[in-house]
Amino acid sequence: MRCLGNPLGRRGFMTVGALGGLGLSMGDLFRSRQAMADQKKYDFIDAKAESVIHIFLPGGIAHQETFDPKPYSPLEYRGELGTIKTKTGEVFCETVPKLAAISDKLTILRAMTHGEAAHERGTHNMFTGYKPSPALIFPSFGSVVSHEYGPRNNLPPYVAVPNSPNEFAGTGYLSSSFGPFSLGADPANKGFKVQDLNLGGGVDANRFDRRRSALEAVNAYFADKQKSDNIAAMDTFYQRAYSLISSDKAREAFNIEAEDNGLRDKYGRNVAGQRLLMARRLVESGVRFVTVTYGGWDMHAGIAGAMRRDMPSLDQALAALIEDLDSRGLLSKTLVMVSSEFGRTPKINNDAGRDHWPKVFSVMLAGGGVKGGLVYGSSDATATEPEFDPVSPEDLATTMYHLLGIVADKELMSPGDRPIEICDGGKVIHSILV
Amino acid sequence: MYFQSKIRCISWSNVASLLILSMVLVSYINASEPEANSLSLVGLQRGTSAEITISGNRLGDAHSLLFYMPGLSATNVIKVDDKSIKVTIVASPDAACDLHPFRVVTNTGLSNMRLLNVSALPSVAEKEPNSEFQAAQQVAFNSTIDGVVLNEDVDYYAVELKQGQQMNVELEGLRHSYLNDFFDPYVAIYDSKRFEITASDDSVMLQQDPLCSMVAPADGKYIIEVRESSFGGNDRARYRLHVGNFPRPVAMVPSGGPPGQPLVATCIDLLGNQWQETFDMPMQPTAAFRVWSKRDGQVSPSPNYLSVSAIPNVLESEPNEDHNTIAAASPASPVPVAFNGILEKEKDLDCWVFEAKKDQQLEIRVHARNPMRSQVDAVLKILKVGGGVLANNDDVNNNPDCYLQFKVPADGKYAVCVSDHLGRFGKHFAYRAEILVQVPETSTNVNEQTRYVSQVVNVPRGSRMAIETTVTRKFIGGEARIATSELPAGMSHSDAVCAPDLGVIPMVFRADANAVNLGKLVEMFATIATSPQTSVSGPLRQRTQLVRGQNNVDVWGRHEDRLAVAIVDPAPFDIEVVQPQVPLVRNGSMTLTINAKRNDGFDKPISLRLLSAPAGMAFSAATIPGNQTTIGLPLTANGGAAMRKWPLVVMATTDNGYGPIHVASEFVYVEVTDSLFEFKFPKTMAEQGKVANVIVNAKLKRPVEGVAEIEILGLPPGTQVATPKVPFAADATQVSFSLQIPPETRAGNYKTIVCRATVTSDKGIVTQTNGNGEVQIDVPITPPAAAPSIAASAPVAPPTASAVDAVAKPLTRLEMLKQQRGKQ
Repeated sequence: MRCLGNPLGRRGFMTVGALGGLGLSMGDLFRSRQAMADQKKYDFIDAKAESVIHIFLPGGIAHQETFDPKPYSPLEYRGELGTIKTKTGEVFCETVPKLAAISDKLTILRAMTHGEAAHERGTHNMFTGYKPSPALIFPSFGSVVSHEYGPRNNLPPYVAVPNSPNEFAGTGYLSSSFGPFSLGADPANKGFKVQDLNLGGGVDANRFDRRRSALEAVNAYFADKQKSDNIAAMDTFYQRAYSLISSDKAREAFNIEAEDNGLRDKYGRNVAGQRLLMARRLVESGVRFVTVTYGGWDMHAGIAGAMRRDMPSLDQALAALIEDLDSRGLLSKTLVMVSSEFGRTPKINNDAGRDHWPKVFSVMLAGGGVKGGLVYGSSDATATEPEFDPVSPEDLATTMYHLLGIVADKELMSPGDRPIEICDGGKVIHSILV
Repeated sequence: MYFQSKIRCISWSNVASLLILSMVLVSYINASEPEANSLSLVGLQRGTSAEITISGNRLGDAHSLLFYMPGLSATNVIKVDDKSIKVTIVASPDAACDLHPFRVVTNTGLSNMRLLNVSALPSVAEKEPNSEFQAAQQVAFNSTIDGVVLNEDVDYYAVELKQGQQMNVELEGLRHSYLNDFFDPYVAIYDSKRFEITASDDSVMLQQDPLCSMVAPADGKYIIEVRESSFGGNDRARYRLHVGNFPRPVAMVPSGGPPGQPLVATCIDLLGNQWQETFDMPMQPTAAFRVWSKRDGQVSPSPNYLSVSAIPNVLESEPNEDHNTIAAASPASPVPVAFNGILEKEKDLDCWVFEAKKDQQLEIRVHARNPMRSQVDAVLKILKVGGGVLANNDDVNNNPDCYLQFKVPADGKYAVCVSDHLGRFGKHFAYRAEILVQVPETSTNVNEQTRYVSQVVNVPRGSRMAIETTVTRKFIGGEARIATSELPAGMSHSDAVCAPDLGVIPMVFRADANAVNLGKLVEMFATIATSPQTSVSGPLRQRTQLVRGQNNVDVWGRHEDRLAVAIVDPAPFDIEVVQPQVPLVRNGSMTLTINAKRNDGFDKPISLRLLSAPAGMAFSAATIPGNQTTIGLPLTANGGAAMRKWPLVVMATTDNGYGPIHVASEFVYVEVTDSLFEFKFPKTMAEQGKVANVIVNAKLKRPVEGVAEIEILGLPPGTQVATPKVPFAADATQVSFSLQIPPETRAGNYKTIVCRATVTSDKGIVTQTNGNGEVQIDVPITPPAAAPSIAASAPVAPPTASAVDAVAKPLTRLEMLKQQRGKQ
C-alpha cells in the first residue's frame, strides 16, 4: 500500500531503510540527491592528450637558472651562470643545452605565478590547482584523471615514480581507490623490480585463483558487515592488482630491463634518466597519468655549483624523453609537464643561493596538443614579477585537463555533499594549444 | 615574553629539518680548518694536571693550545694521528673555577673554540657499571665527577649525608657540547628508598644544565641520577658533576656596583638561604664581572656575574607597589641610579622613583637574565608620578631583559616599575634596573665568513688574510679607527678607518715570510674622536656560538673581546689583482683581472671571491683551473650603487689535500661613479616580415676619454640587426638600429631590448648596460579582401555617405585594429 503523496513504495522504503542502516539517513539521501542534481556536469571534450607525464622538481627550481635567465641584469640578479641560445632563438640558461637544442618542441610558460612561498603550500597549488584549504583536501591531478577515466590496458591509471611524492599527490576528498600506484623502488637501481608484481614463489596460477576465491569469500562477508570507502577502495585495489598480475603485457610495462641499452644510455644511467624512461614505458603501455619526482632544488646556498651538479642529468633525460616520445609518435598525444612548487628569489642571497619566490617562475610543457617552439608570457627585467600573460595554477590545471578532454569546471562530489569543481576559476590558455 | 628554546621538543615534522640542519652543520664544519670535535676529559682540579686526547680533523700538526683565560697551560702536544693529539693540561693552583675557552693552534690554523672546566674539588672518574640504582657508584662528598652519558645510559652516584646537611649539585653538560652534539642533561636526587627529593633538567643559572640543592631529611645514603633528558647520549656527551656543600648563590643583591669599590652583596641560594659577602669591583666598568662566593673554605664551582657601572645603588624597601605612595614617602633618586630588588611575592610589582630634567636622554635597562642569570623575565614600565604610563618594554633582541631609551618630557619625578612577565616570584628573583644618562658608545665586531663559525685570522707566512670588521656607534657619529694591540711578531694589518657613513670596513692582515708560527689573542677596539683631545673607544664584541638549537638558535656561546690570530705555514700560491684604471659606473660592469703565482708543483684549482661586495655592487665567484694562472672576476654595479672609491679584497681558497687554505689579496680600489650615458627607450612598433627602426635616445652625461659605442642586445628571437654595435659621437642624442623581422617571428610584446654602451680608451673599457626597451611585433594587417562577387540577382545597395568616408579616410593602426575587432 502506498500512502498518498509518498513517492516511496514499501520496497523503496525498505531500501532507504537499508541505506539508513549503513549510516545514510533519509535526510542525507535527499540532500545527496539534491546535491547531485545541482552538480555542474559536462561531457568529455575531444582529448588531444591521452596521457600526461608530470615531472615535479621538489624544492622550487630556479627559473633564472633554467628557462628564464636575465643575462643583462646586474650580477646579483643574473647569478653566475651564463646563457645558451635555443634552436628557436630564445635564450635559456647554460644548464639546459640539450633542451635548448629541441626548444622547437617545447612551450615555456615564463610567467607562472602564485602567492605561496612555503614548500607544502606551493606544492599543493602545483599538484591540485587549488590553494590549500583547511576545510577540504583536494584531489591531485592524477587522482582526478583516475576518477574520470579509470584504468586502460589493465594498468593503473595513475602511477607515481618512484613513490607518491607528497601528501598532495593523493586522492583528497575522492575515494582512496583513485590514489597513485607507487613503484616502491627507484628504476635507477640495479635489479629494479616493482614489488609484488609477480606471483610469489611456489604459487602457480591455479593456486593463486583458489586463494583469490577464498579471499573474495572472506571479503564479501566483511563488506556486508562494514561499509566504508576504505573497504571499497581496497577491493578496487585488489581487482586492479589481479588484472595487473594476470596480464603479462601490463606487467611488462614495469620491466625497464626490457629497454634497449642504447636508449637507456641516452636517457642517462642515473636517477633522472631511468625514472623518465620508466615514465615513457608506462604511458606507452597505457598509464594515463605518471608523476615523476626528481632531485632536490631548494638551493638556498651555492646555487650555481648546485645547478651545475644536478641539472645535466635532468637536461639529458628530459631531452631524451621528448625525442623518444616524438620518435615513437607519442609526443602528440602525451603531455609532458615539468613544474616545481615555485621559483627562486630574483636576487642572489648572502650564501650565493636563492630563496623561495612564487611571484613568477617557469613551467615547461611539451607535446599532448601544446605548440612547440613557444615561450608564453614573460617575467620582468629582473625575473621578479610577471610582465605579460601571467598563468595561475588554476589556468595551468584547467589547460592540462582541457588537453586530456576533461572540462575542469565539472564538479565532483566532496564529503558533505558539496559539489566541488575539478578546478575552480582557471582559464584554458588557448594561445599555447595547437 | 621570552621562550627559552629547547631542541628536545622534537616532532616528526621537525626531524627532517634536523636532518637538514645536521647536513648543513656538517658542511659548515668541513669549511673550518682544524676541528676539535671531542675531548677525552672536559676538566680538572686546579693545582693538578691531566692528559687529554683531543680528536677531530686536521689536528696532526698542532703545536700548542691558545687559552683565553689565565690559569691553564698546555705541554707535551703529541700527535697521535692526523685526527687526534694528546696534550698535558696543567691547571695552576690559582686558576679560576670556571669554563676556560681554548683553541688548538696548528701549523695550518686555529681550531674551533672548546671549553675546559677548572674545579676546586678533587676529580673522581665515573666507573661503570653504575647504571643501576642499587649499584650506584659511591663518591666522596665534595668532589667533582668526570662522567659520560652513552645512549640510554643512566649514571647513579651515592653520597652519605647527615640530617640537616645541605648538598648542592651542579652539572656541566650542555656547556661542553659542540654544535650539533646537543647533550641536554638531567639530574635527580633520591633517598635510599628511591623517593625523589629534588630534580632539575634546566636551570636559568646554568643555561640548560641542571642545578639542585637539598637538605638531607635524615642521615643516610642519597643517590644522584645523571642522564640525558630524553635518554640519548653518546661518547661525546661528557659532563662534570660537582657535588658538595660549596656555596652556590643563584642571586646577589645588589647585582652590581661602582668600579673600584668593595661591594657588599647579599648572596641567595636556591633554597632561599642568604648570607653576605664583600667583593672587590674592578677599576673599569664591566658588563659581566665574574665573582665567586667563598664560605667555610669552599668556593662556588662557577662564577656569578655582576654589572659594574659608575652609578650609585639603591636597595629595595617594601612596600613599593604604588609609585605615587613611594614618591610621597621618600625622596626621588637623581639619575643615573641603579635600583636593586627582588620579586618576592606572587605578581610582585616593584616601583622606584627617580627625578629627571626635561629633554634628558635616558637609557633604562633591567638586568636579570643577563648578566646575572636571574629567573626574572622582566617587564618594565615608565610612569609619570601622578600620571600614567609613558613607556614600557618586555624583551629586546631575543633577550628577556628590558631596555628602552627615554626622553624626559618635563622636569619632575618619574617611576620605573618592574615585574615578572608571568608574575613568578621567589627569594632569588633578583634584578637590577639601571637608569642611565645616555653616553656615547662604540664597539667593533668581526663578520663571520662561514656562517656560525666565529672568524679567526690565520695568516700564512709571507702572505695575507682579510676580515670584515663592523663598527657600532651608539649616540655618536663620525669616523672610526679600528686598532689592535700586541700582534704577534711579524704580523701587521692595514690601517682600518671607517668613514662616518659606513659601518663595515675590510682589514688585511699580513705576516712576514720569516715570522714564526704562533697563535695569539689580540685586543681589538674601535675609537671615535669626539674632539682633538678626546675620543670614545669600545672593545671587540665577538660572539662564538658553541651550541645551536633548532632553526640555528644560539643556545650557548661566548662573547670575546679579543681576536684569535695565528701565523701559519706559507700558502702554495699567491694572488695579485690588477688595479683597474677606469671606474665602474652605475648600471655598469667590469672584470677584475687576477693573477696567481703558483709554487712549483702546485696545480690545484684556486677559487676566488670578493671578501664582500659594497652596497649596490655584486660579483661572480670564479675559479682558476689548475693549469692556469689568470682569470677575470666579473663585477657589476646597479643603478643605486654607492658612489665612492671602494677598497676591495679578493679571497682565494684552495685545498692542497689538507683542508682549505685561504689567502687574501692586497686592496684593489674600484671607484664607482655615476653612469656615463642616459638612455630612453621609446616603444618600437613592428610587423612580421618587415624592417623596423629601433630608436634609442641616448646621450653622454659628461665628457669621456676614448671611443664610445652602443650595442643593442636582447633582440626578439629570430630577429637580427645588421650592425648591432655603432659608434656614438659625444654630441649625439640618438642611435637607431635596423631590426629585421622574419615573417615567422612570433608576434608579441618584447620588453627585452637592452643597450650596452662602452667607452674604450688605453686605460680600459667602461661598460654600462641599460634596459629595457620594448618592441611590439604585430601580425601584418592583411589588406581588405576583394569585394566578394555579388550575384547579379542580388540588389546592390547604394554606398552610404559614411561608407564612402570610411574608404576615403586613412585609418590609424588603432582604428584599423578596432575595425578588425568589430568584424570578429
